[in-house]
Amino acid sequence: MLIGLGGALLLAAMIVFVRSGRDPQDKARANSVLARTREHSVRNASKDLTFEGRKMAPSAASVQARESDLVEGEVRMAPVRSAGAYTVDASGPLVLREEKLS
Amino acid sequence: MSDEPLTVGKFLFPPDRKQAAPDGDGPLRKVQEKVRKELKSVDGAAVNEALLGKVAAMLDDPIYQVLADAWSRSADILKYRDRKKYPPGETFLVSLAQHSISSVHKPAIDIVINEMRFGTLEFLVTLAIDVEAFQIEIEDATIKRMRTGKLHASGEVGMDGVPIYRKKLEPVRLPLTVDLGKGVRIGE
Repeated sequence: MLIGLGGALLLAAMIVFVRSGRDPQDKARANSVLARTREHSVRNASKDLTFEGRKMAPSAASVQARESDLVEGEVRMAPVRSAGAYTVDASGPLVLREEKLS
Repeated sequence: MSDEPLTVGKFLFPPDRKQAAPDGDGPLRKVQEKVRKELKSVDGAAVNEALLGKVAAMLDDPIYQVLADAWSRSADILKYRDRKKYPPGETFLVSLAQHSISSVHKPAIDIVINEMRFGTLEFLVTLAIDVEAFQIEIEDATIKRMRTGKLHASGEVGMDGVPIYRKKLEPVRLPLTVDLGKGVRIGE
């Protein structure tokens, strides 16, 4: 029995030794495989998984007139200007006082 | 205070004014009827608002320009054209007595409805401004600057001799000094 236990320990020690001895390329390859596996598991997520987002406003709108043309009619208002006229009314002289500024 | 000049139109039609009444039997009735015949969705008040808005836009003289123009033609101010008594290069500060200024404008609007000329609407706009404690600086027969005091005003828009809009204006906050740039030449 002791021989069997010793053989099992020796085998475990050899496995640990072999794994720690792999080169970095092997480690990177192993990590890549692990990442793909995770990605795959997200892609194949269960249907209960929901992604929430806000609805966007419609990017286009259309206008439809109900009976006839959209434009019912048109009123044009063209301005005709005139100069103003001004008058000054004062009960007495307009000028109260004046002073010369330096 | 806004940097935009305070024009007669903005003065008479402030943004917070109430909307014009539909003017049931007034002189604008014919215009309203004609417009509604062609454009059934437009009501009378909307026509009035559009017309008054157009009148306001035409009254684009700055209010200070109106005051200075009125003073520059006043008999009491014409004496400052005398270059012997008031030589160029010297500036005179003139205090004005309490007075009122009447400003009369006659804008008109050509109306075309669906490419058919309807006619010309002629308006009479009167602005009465009570001016108190104003001073003006005169240099080289030109009003260059004004130092403001109190200003009370009321205005009216009439058509065919009938008032269609009246406004008694609240006192306006004015800047203490208004620079008139190149100024307003006296007597011109």
